[in-house]
This record gives sequence, structure tokens and C-alpha cells, in this order.
Amino acid sequence: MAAVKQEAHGVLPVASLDEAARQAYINELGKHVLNYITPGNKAVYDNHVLPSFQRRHGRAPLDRHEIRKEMVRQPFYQMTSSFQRTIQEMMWNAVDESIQRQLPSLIDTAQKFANGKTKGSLTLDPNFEVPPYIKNNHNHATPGGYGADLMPGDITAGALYDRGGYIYTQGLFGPRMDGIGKAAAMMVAQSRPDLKPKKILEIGCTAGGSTGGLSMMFPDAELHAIDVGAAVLRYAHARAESMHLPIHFHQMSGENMTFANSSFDLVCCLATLHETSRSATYNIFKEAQRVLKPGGLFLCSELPPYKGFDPWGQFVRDWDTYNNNEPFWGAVHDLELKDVALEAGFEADKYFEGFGPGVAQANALNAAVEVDNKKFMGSTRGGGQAWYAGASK
Amino acid sequence: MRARQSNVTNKIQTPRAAAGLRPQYFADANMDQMHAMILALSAEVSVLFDRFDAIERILDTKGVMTRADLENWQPDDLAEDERRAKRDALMKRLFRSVHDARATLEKDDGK
Repeated sequence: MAAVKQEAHGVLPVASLDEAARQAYINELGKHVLNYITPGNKAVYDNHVLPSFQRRHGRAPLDRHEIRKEMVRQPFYQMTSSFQRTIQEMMWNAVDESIQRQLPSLIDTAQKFANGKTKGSLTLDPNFEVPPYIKNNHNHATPGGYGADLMPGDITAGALYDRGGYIYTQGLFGPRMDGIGKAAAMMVAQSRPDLKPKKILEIGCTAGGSTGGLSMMFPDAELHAIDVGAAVLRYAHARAESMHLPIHFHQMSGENMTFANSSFDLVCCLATLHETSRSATYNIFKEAQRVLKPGGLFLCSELPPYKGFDPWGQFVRDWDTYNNNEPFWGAVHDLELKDVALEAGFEADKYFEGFGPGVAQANALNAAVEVDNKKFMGSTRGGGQAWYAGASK
Repeated sequence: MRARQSNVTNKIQTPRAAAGLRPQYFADANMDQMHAMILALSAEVSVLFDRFDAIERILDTKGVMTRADLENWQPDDLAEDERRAKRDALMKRLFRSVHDARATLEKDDGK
């Protein structure tokens, strides 16, 4: 299937001939390794590691940790993991190089959108401290991570996430990178058909792709989005203005928001918790509970918890924890979010979790767009159904 | 070559590396470097093929030159300078992980 083209907007970096060729090749290289080389690890496990383990222990491995200890010694697994990690680094470097070449003009363009006739707004906090879990570890091995602010007016981190993220997910989130937001809106309609949100908040918006999806699905709502990085927010705001989407962006941590109590009908935290920490997850739930209006809904989307998978399935899904600068990945998928919600003051009978609309369903809203919903990077994340945890106040 | 955060408006050096733990996959760390170099090299070969392909197709369509023109062509000084800069950029990509390793070694003062 031909790759879906990312839809151009006002601040999307433009690749030169060689840059485009490099990005295209690295994308194909990643797909090739994932689809035709990495799956060989199943045979390594079934035919060699498992029988040997059973001989030595008289039983099969109990969990992903026992499998991992064996697999990291297997030359084939070492090779595929090295390939995947290296390709991930090459991909970010290739996109970053293209961004840095045109950075002054991208900053200029972003400022024109931000200072022109705007529908939304941008509020940065010059005294803001990027949380250590973002500053000291750059998630999915993205140079600079979410928090980097390289120079006045910088938009690098946003552009890197928008363009690199598109290649990294192989178009999974749709041509506008908005599939996660659209899917979440479908989940709101499915789980709380009575809720017609007038005021919405997204925690952890990055480049504003998912926020754009929320904006399209709730066109009459007042939409706010927060993130920790000034550069991602400048980019997200310029991007939204170039697409005529009215979104208000704020530099703020989800752990400690300046919004008044009972401000929002809907608070979303989409594919974001795994990029934080255990204590941050508890704090985000508490803050979401505080800023929600009575009767409002807090909706998180995450990769499904490990509890539903056998040890091998858990091991495969846990690749990112050790190989992709995602130290909280494994831990958040073992966490019972229901306990977190109760601790934050939500009531047990108003909590739900389970599978719901995913990016495949969201992308189906785009006429004539086919998206390759195969797995990407180390995990079989797939584009089928997404997993949600929600709590009504 | 670590990721930098500064307020100066000079050019950001690429490639940048991500902060966090980068696993070593093989008993011999040089094997990790070899992987990174081979994959980077394969990307540059592919980029080259694509560029040649574009040029040949355009020239063919427009009928502007023959293969002999290509064989007899010599770069002037400016062209040679531009080519040197391109080779330099290629080597930076090729040795990206080696430069990372060196920076890490230099940061670790043994204390």
C-alpha cells in the first residue's frame, strides 16, 4: 500500500530533494525491518529460547522480564533491536537536519501566523520549569525531547514531532496527524452520549495534531491545550492558525494547572501518560478532577495495559521501555488507572476502561484516505482499537 | 554533539542526540557502531540513486545532454567546494554514533 501523504499546512517543514529521498528511504527501511526481519524473533523464542528455558527451569517464563533476560542474549534479537534503534535515530536526525536548514524561515512563518489575524491564542510562561522526566529523558529518542527551546522563537521541537512523528508512525495518525483526537471524540460520543462539551482541555498537546482532531469534532466548543515545551506550543499555535482552527495554547504542566476549579466539561489526556512518570500520572488525574465541572468527563487514551497479554505479547510491547527512551512505558501499562482515578477523587462507579474507537475508525472519516495500520517500531501497537480510561465527575 | 539548549541564534549543529539511556546491543561496542554506519551509508546510497534517477529522467525528457557530456565533465573550484561541503555533511551522518560515543567518553572523566 502506498504511503499516505502528510497534508501540508502553513508551518510544515519542506524537504529538499535529498532530504525527501533520505526521509523516504529511512521510512521504508524501518518498515522493512519491522515487517520482514523483526518478526523472526518469534522463531528465536519458540524454537530456541523457550525449549532451553523449559529444560533449565521445568516451566515456561512467567513474565516479560524473564523473557527479556533470555532474548537480549540472542544475536538475532540484538541485531533487530540495534536496527530499530538506529533507524529511529536516523529518522529524527534526517528530519532535524531539514528543519535546522530552514529554521529562520520557519520561525518567521510561525510568527506571521501567530501575529496575524488569529482565531486562537498562545500563552507562554517565561519562568516555566520543564519537568525532569521531560528534560532529562528525550522520549522516543527524539533529540531535544518535548521541552527543548533552542533559540528565541524556536519551533524545532514542534516541527520535529509533527514531521518526524508522521514518519515514525508511518502515517498511522492520518494525513493531519489528528486521528488520536478524532478517535477520542468518537469515544466521548460512545461513552457519554449525553455530554455536549462547551469547554474542552487537552493535557499534553505537543504539536497540536490531536488537538486539531478535537477541534474538528467539537467545532462549537472553546478548546484549550497545554504542554510543557515553548517550542512545541509556538509550532502548535502557528499550525492551528494556518489551518484556521481556534485553539488556545498554554505553557503549563498537567500536574499543576492555573485553570480555576470546575472549568471544563471535557478534559483529555491522549497518548500522553506514558511520557510522564508515576507521580506525574497521579498529579495529572488530581488536577483533571479539580478543573472538571460536575458531570464532566476525564478521558485518557493509552496503549492497552499488559494484563491482557501473555508474557511474549508483553515482551514485544515492552520494547520501547528499554530501547526507545521510554522509561515509564512498561510501568504505566502495569498501573491500575482505576486506583489512580479513585485516589484523585473520582468515584468507582463513574470510572470505565476498555477498548474504543482507534485511529483506524478516525481515519475512516477522511474520505478516500487509506492508512497503513500495521505495527510500527517495536510494538504491535496497531491502528485497530485504542484503549481508554475515563472518569466522570 | 549532545542536544544543546541556548539562547544564541547561531545555527544548531546537527545531528543531535537524544538525552536518555542508549542501549549497547552487542558484546563488542564496535559492532553497534558498525550497524549505525552501515545503515547510515545505505541511506546515503539510496539518496544518491534517487537524485541520479531524477536527473537522468529530466535530461532524458528535455533531451539536453548525452552520456559523453557527463563522462567529460570536470568540476570547477566552486563546484569542488560545494562537493567538499556535501561530503563533510555525509561523513557527519555516517559517523553520527561514533561522535556520540566520543562525546560520552570525554564527558566521563573517570571520577
